[in-house]
Amino acid sequence: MKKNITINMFGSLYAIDEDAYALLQQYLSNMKNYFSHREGGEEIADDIERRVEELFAELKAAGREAISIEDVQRIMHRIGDPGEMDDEAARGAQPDADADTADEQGDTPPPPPLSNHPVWRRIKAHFANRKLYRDIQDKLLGGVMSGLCKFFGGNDPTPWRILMVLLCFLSFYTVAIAYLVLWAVVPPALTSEDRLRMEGRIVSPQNINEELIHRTGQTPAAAATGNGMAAVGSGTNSIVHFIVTCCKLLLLLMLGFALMCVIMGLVWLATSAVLGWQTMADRGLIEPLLVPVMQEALGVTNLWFAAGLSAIVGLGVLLYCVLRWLIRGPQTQPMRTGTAALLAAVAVLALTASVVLFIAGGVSMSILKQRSHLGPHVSVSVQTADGEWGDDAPIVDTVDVANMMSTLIHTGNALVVDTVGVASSRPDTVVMQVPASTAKSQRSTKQVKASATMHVKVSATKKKPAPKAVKPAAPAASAAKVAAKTDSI
Amino acid sequence: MNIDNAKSQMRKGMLEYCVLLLLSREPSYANDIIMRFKAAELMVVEGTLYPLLTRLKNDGLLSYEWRESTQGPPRKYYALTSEGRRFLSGLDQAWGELQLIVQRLKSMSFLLPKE
Repeated sequence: MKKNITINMFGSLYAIDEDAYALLQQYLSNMKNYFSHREGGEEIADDIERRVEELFAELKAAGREAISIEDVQRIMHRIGDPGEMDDEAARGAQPDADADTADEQGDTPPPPPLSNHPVWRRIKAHFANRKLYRDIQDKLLGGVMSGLCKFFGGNDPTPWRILMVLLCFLSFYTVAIAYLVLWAVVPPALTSEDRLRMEGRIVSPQNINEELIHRTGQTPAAAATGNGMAAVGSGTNSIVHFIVTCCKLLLLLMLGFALMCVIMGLVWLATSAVLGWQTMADRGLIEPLLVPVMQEALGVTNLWFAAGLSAIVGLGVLLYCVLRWLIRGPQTQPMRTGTAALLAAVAVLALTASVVLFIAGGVSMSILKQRSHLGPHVSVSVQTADGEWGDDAPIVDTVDVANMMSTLIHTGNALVVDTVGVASSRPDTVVMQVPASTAKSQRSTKQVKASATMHVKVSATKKKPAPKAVKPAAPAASAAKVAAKTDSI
Repeated sequence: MNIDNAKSQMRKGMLEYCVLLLLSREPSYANDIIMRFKAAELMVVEGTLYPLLTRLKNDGLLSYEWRESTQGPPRKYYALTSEGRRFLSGLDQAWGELQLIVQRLKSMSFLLPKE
């Protein structure tokens, strides 16, 4: 619902919406100004006003009770800019543009070298026409950032707004105070001239008209034809359109899938943090042999967690862009440059970070595994006198005696050994003494008849289960034969 | 975009001639002139016409009178003055000359011997 007023044009009354009237007034006064410098100028402005009245009368005769802002916009568009009007425009009426270039060319006395420097001149020219205003059309709070952005020539204040928020926190709110001061002091760009000066454009009636039309939204005629054209498509167009949409959907699905994988990975990591690796091993979520490694690998899990988060951010941004591209209608404006640049930077950084962190985690993990007890490891099984082999019991390959003991005792089918030592002359050999009576495997109660000392050679090659020769040191070796097998995870 | 520029320059030069031509048959008012131009496939923005008509009137080539209309406010009907008619015939001549020149130039390219 809009407020409506009655105006008197050359003796006839017309009902017009208040906002339409404001626009019309600006248009007509613009015309008056434009033509005021020339002979017969008032008459021209008068003619134009009469023309407007004629068009109003037509509308009224067609049954329209009130003139709306769209009507005024259409009329403005129809009658047009003074700039498009005849050749006299070029001659007389552009003092601003001429003055600028004249200044630069008419410099007869040699100017001091610094101010004549091309870069400096460009800077001066840039700021010559500009004044700082608050842009109240493009505002979040007060249009301060937007206005500043336009003052320095930019168009999209989004990255600057984010920067400002960050600075706000970092500078103990000093920046916030500065913002409030600017909000109070800098004037808002209210009229079209203000807006033109804010963007550094020359103030001419042509530009003013453009700004007027642009400010109150798209002209309805243009919008209508735009939509109409979108609806009518030729046959080949719609096939291409269909294929393109399919591609977009495919991309969406792939991104969505990747995102899901990352999220699942993160959930896995999170459960490990909550439940502990041991519990996870018990539930079969992770290979039991990896448990000690993971328990020490806090750094790795952190790295992978960070990698996962980065990946989510990066993929999320890409997903948003694809969605936007997909459900874009004719009304959605194209993404502004600043925003697009920001999103692109974020996506690239996030994805690179996630890849780097993931690789770092992997490298770290393999280093850990190498250093850990789980590298190439040796498992031992005992063959009893009746020729049966027991289950494999893993033993460690490092020279850490105490650890070996504990692993042997705790692992499921552990072989109970009497002493375990290292042959000092050959550090890659483990010497195990298996007492005759106590050797038991959990599955069988067969006993080892005699004790034996075995030298088990450990090789560092991975993935080759190669049974190693075992040489019982003592001759009374008939009883126990042990097959040692190198294995690696 | 340059060709559009050039085209519009050409049209701007011709506009005066076109207006005088149209008004030589019968007096008319701004909107009607635009309608007839449109019928002749000459697209002109309304606003372009008003300054032009006023200028021609100030130069003495046109005169106008107010006529009441049934559909609303009175309108200015422009008509050629006698000086306007003289001017128009001068323009007619200029137009004919231009046509000849262009034709000659077009055919010359075939006739002139190559150096």
